[in-house]
Amino acid sequence: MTTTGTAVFFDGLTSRRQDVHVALEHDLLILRPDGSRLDVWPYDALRELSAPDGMLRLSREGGPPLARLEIRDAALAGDVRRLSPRLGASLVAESGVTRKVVFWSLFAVVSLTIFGFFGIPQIAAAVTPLLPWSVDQRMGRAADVQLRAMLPTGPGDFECGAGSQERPGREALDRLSERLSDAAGLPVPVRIIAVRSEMVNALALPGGPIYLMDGLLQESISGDEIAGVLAHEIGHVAHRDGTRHALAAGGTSLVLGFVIGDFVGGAAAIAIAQAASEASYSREAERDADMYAVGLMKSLGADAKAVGTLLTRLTARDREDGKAAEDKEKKDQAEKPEAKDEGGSIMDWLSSHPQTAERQSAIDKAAGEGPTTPIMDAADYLALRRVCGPSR
Amino acid sequence: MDIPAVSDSSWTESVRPKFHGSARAMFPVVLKGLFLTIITLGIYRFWYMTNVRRFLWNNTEVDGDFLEYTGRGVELFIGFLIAVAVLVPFYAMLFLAPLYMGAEAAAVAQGLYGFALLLLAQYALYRARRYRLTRTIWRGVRFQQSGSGWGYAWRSLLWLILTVLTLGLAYPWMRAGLERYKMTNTWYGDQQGAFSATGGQLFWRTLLVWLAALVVIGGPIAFVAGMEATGNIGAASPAHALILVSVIGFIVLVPVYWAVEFRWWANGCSVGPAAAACDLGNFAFFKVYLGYLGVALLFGLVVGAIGLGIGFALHSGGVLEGMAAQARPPVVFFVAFGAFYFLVGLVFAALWQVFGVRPIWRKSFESCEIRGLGALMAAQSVTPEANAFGEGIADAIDFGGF
Repeated sequence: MTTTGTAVFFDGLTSRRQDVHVALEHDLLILRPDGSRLDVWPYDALRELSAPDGMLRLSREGGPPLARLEIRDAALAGDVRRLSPRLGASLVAESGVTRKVVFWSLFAVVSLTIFGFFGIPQIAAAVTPLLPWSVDQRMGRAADVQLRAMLPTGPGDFECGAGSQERPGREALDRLSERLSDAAGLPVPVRIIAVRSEMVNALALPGGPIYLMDGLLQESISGDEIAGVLAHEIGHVAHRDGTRHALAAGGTSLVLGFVIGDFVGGAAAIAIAQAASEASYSREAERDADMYAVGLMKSLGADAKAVGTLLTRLTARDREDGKAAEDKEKKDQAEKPEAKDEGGSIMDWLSSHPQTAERQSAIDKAAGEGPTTPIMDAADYLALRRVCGPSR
Repeated sequence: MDIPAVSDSSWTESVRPKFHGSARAMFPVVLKGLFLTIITLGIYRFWYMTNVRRFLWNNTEVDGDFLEYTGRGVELFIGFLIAVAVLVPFYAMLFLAPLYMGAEAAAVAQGLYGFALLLLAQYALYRARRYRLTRTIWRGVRFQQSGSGWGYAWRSLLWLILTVLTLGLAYPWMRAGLERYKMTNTWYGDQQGAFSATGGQLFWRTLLVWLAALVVIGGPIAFVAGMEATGNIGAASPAHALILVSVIGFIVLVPVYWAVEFRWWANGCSVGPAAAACDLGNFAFFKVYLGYLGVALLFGLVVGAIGLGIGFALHSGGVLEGMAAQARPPVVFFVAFGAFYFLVGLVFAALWQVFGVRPIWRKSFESCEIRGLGALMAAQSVTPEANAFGEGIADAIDFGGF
């Protein structure tokens, strides 16, 4: 018994549309309306192609690649499906490829993630000591230019110390940085920049420049505390933490960013993950910088315990003040994500500062006991506090 | 879905294409594709894109016969690999140049790279169009694109320079010139395409939109800036609310401009004896955006409610306080948060495909009548289809679109 039905035929040579009859005999016969034979397609050469719902779109393996037989008659399509053993061959092969793609992509993602988060920082750590210091300096200069444009500052120059009222402070700061720089004896000159900003922060750029924010100056109670903070930042410069970090972050984003390509949302995931890995990475770096600072302060005969006291006091006050301080802290953070965060919030985990008490006790242990002399006299310290203008 | 009976168009009658893809049919395709794209960190996107195109092409009916898309995901993937091979050294230089050069030299180098990237982008755009055309089949005959990618890239660069020099005044003629190059290099089998619309037409038809943009968008900004410059108003005065007018004006005018330009473009297109006549409404694309905005807003509300519910449950359960007391919240918290974020982003992206891309596709086709289609009889072009490079660099640079 043969089944027949209607279909549409395109010969793949011209755009002529031919309404045909299909007869299912020992082969699939394509017949003109007058009953003459147009073409014969063997069942095992039939391949199904993607098509709109309700249509069976066929091509013939080995025939003209664009010849098409389109069957919209459901009963006829069903019979063709039953008779053709290799109808789905191309579609099945395609879904096999898709499965392989998904599986190996997942595998590659896992490998790349491990490489991106563990391999690249290791490589960066290994490569950084081999780089000349001029690389650090160039990075630092580039970052300096960017930060000057980005950081919100009060009225006046970005850098404090130019005005006539500010000059004594500038001179005191220069004396202090010269002492620290000489004691550190780094291959690059350390340059300390007093920044007209209310942020309670200090940060070291790769290769030397160190920002000392006015906000932090105002929170200090002695020259030793300022010297301690600066010594800590010099430690970051000496250990080339900034350079290593920039290399690692750049490498990771280059590798992962390119694979992710255009997909929105993946970038955010990377950013979160990176911030998280940064915190654990920085903890060691912070402790090392603390120890470096203690050594530097001791070599100058100053009170090495001062390295941590400012941070400890800020933390304690923050906890006591409770809600109000936390809100202010949050405001500070909204203005500048890098602002110090010692609050007991969830974000604490993501902040780059190890537990303060833990740090202070390590510092105290390393500092030891013994007589110390203040690093600067009271007059110099008062002048330094006014380096960004008369106290507010 | 029911396939319409085969229509018997006479030689003179005009034919309107029809799109049969429903949102319900598209949603599973998009959702599955996006999900696999995410878990493979984007690698699956070539197969996903291919499936979406198949859906769009397969459901587009012209004179009773449906388009067919014969592209394959693996072709796009190979193209992507080639693009990576070309672009990675390029990006690496961009990243490393400032480290090893002086500031001025680095600036010059980066300027040159930017220029090269622009040229490459135009090249890629043209090649991507070629790929899509050669993978488009209608009535057993494939489309084809001649011309060269670099030829197009240089043309568009010269036009761009001219447009910048004339402060944008040359823009309509740039569009016309480039579209003419594209369409005259478009073939349906052995039938050549043509483009009859002119820059002058586009200029006059879009003049009103540009003027409206000047008033609605430029006006309030200039007013507020002027007031601030003269110190008449403070940091946050009611006058700043005028900026909202600019934003709304922008949101309305961009799709309106797009619709006007599309109508101009479609009316200029023809292939052999078949020419398009487009009657797309000025606000057709704007309505699509509005519809998407509504759907997205609705989904956003649902997500917000769920988020609040979860937050409240955690709060009343004392989980949040417990975490706050600990120095390190459990990793589970971040994983759950990340998964939630992904899921929401996924659905938003899927909604855009289903309620943004799909209706724009539909309106683009259904707004056009094709005249003289009966006289269009094409023979298969002997030129082979574009090679398996896929869209190459276009994918790596990412132009989006179809």
